[in-house]
Amino acid sequence: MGEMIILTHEGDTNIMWDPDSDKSIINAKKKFKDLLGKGYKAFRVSTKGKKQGSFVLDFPPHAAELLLIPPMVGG
Amino acid sequence: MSYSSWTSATASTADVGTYYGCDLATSDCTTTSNVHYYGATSNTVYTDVTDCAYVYFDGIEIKPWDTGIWWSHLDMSFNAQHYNEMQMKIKAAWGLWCRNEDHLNSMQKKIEREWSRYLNNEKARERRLAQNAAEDKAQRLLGLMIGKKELEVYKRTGRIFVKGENNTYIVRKGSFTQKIEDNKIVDLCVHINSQYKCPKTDNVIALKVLLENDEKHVLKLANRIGSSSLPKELPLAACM
Repeated sequence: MGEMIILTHEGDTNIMWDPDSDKSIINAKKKFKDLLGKGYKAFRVSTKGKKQGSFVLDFPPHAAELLLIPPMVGG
Repeated sequence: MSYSSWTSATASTADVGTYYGCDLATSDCTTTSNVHYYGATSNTVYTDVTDCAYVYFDGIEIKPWDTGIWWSHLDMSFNAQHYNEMQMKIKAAWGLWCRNEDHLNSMQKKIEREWSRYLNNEKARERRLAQNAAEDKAQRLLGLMIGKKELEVYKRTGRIFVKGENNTYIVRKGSFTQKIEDNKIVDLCVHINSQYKCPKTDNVIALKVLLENDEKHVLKLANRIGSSSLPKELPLAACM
């Protein structure tokens, strides 16, 4: 299963998808695109404590974990 | 709960005026003669209105069957006992006696103010609870990324060390991010856009991931606030 971890005002919310299901991928991809359209940045991550980040622009259906970060600003 | 449920009934047993009550309850219990209230407010100590020996209103003793204004306000849960012994759980209750319409109008305004204050307090409390829950969730996510031991250090210090491609940073919960240079520390202001209202630790997570993977982007966004000389010993932080 793939997992999108989205940072929101409620803490992180998670969206899962099944890499073997086209419908599941389409739904997750739609959400991914929506968020990138709002200025979110997506990274492949591992929440197992290892640095494994890489910036992604296209939805990777076979990624295990994606972290989506809201737009950052300078203060 | 709603404040629209104002009802009126004559306090027939006492016949001291018109009773206007608003019970924000699971059940209707606006007829005073049948309801025993147990509770206390800041200025009011009362038991049962019709049977009580003493009722105090703003420090003034009101005897049973006295004509006068009765005002009560409760914003806590309590049990009310109906005449038929049915127990009701009440969240909040407002009630008053009035001699005339003028009294009623003025008291209703007072109630409106109290009710508004009550709702604001409730909203603030709910907001605080939601914020705390979101922060806990964010800390759990950070814990998955850095491990339990380092999370404990973060919880104690509110700081985490992050290594970017070219520099090292101290990302602080709810404060400036510090870039460590050769002989100084530079304070940088960069954070998640506040319209997203993310918990503070989500900001730490975001900066950690961004600095580790896209340091240039962060530096491009960040405003340099100031700098100070590098201390002999860096403060304790997670992931040092």
